[in-house]
Amino acid sequence: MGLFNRIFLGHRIDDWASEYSLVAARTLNQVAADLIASAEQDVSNANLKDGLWAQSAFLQVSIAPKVREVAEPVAIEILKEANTALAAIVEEQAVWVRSPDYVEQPGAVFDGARDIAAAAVPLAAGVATAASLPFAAVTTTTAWLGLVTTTTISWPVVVGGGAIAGLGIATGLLNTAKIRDRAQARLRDRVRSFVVGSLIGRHENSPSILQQLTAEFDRAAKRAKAI
Amino acid sequence: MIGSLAHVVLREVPAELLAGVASGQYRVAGSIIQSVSSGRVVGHLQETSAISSLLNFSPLSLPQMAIDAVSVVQNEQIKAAISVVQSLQIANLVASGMGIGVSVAGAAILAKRIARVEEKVDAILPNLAAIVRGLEAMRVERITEDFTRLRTLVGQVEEAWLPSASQREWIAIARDAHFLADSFERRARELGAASDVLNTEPLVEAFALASGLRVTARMASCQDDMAREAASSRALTLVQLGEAIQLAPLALAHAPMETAGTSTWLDLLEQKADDLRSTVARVREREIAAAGTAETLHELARQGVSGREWLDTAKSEGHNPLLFLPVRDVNAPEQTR
Repeated sequence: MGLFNRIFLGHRIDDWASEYSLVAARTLNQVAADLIASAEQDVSNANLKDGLWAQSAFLQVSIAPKVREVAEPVAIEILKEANTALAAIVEEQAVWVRSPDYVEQPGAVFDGARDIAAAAVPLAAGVATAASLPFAAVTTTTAWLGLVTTTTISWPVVVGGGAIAGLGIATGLLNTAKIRDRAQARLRDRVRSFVVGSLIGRHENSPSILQQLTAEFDRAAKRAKAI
Repeated sequence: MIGSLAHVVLREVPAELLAGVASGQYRVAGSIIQSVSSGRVVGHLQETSAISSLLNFSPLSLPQMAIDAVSVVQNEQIKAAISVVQSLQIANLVASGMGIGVSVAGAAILAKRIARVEEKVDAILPNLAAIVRGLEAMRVERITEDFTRLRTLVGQVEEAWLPSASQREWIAIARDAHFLADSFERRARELGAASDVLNTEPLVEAFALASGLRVTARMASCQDDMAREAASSRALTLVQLGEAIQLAPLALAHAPMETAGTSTWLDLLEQKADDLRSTVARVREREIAAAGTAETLHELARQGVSGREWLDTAKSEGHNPLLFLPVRDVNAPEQTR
């Protein structure tokens, strides 16, 4: 294929990668908003323990599975649509070269149109796709996205089971409702950070779904342009 | 018309092709007209001195031209020229100065283009003071010097068209243009590695200008094989320099995470994407225009037309804004006109 058509088709492939990255961004942003809203009931029902020193476990048990349940099919659908669109571009490229009146520039070599169409798609959709996404990691380890297994809240040393409550009654400073409100507010923030971070965040070490999709589109574009 | 080109080049785009562009059967990309369904290149456009004259009056805006004191005849010619340019959907290319085919623009137009680019470079450098301080290639005085050299080269191109000039002048221009292009390329790469890739835009534009002069000079000195090499290299370099200018990554990088998961984030993302679209489009147009020039030089070689002849024809055409070179099947029997 001559230089002109290679560059022309390269532009179309770049446009494809950008278009589907933006589709993924818009869609996953909406999914994040919906999940944050739907998690509000869980946060409101969370007890003091969940809100204060079991936030990580709360996220792992109550939030992470819902994130996966909702976002996984969305991500797979985006990949399917993107794959279809890219295959159409690559197929058109192959059709151009197979055309009987196509004139090759000297030195250009081209063969294997079918292999090219297969090689250029970003991912095989379906279960194999899901396995490559980090959802599986959510249910097996809380180390994903920096969740830690122990709370980072600093507590005064608890010398006995009722020491804190006892201290509060003695001083009159303990306000359970206020503590609960603050705990829920922190939990709400953690939920939001978790959902946003999982779906559209920008993390170097634990890329979000959006980061992984855009990276795949970028890789597929490079492969398609190299053909 | 000159030599063998008289038998192959047309002074206007055939009506059936114009109709095909309007119907979507053909598309115009840079200076190339190609079939949408097969990708086959059907013809090559080349700007002439007539189109450069249009730019001397004003940007392609008919009401403005009506205000200018031109004769009725000239006005009709201008209207006809604008109509052709607009029907081929290449008005942007013409108005931006990117050129259609090989640049035959006169010194005045090129000097304006250089001045615009230099202004953009001057505008970004103060904001990047801390970054460029450590980059040897980005020293302000050296950049200023190179823009002066570029303007000088443009003046030398004007002189080299005069009858007393020889091939030696053109070769010297080609070599100087090559060196300047490499300098601007190096600056663009270093700045791109050290800062936002969008900051490199004016330097890439300067590279495009200098490397375009190199191509013109090689053609004018009858070194067609070197011209083809220069044109291909130019197109590939522009694509490499523009690789990182992609709409989605740049827009997403600027979308603030504090508002993620809300409609505000989406609005900011869309706004940033809209702001970037014209820049990305301009970069892509420049790349495809360069690729089109390389394609045209290959077609000229296939048809046995010299680069010098092509340039002379384009420069001497003062009436029609565009020449059209139909792609010819070299195996078809020769047709006499």
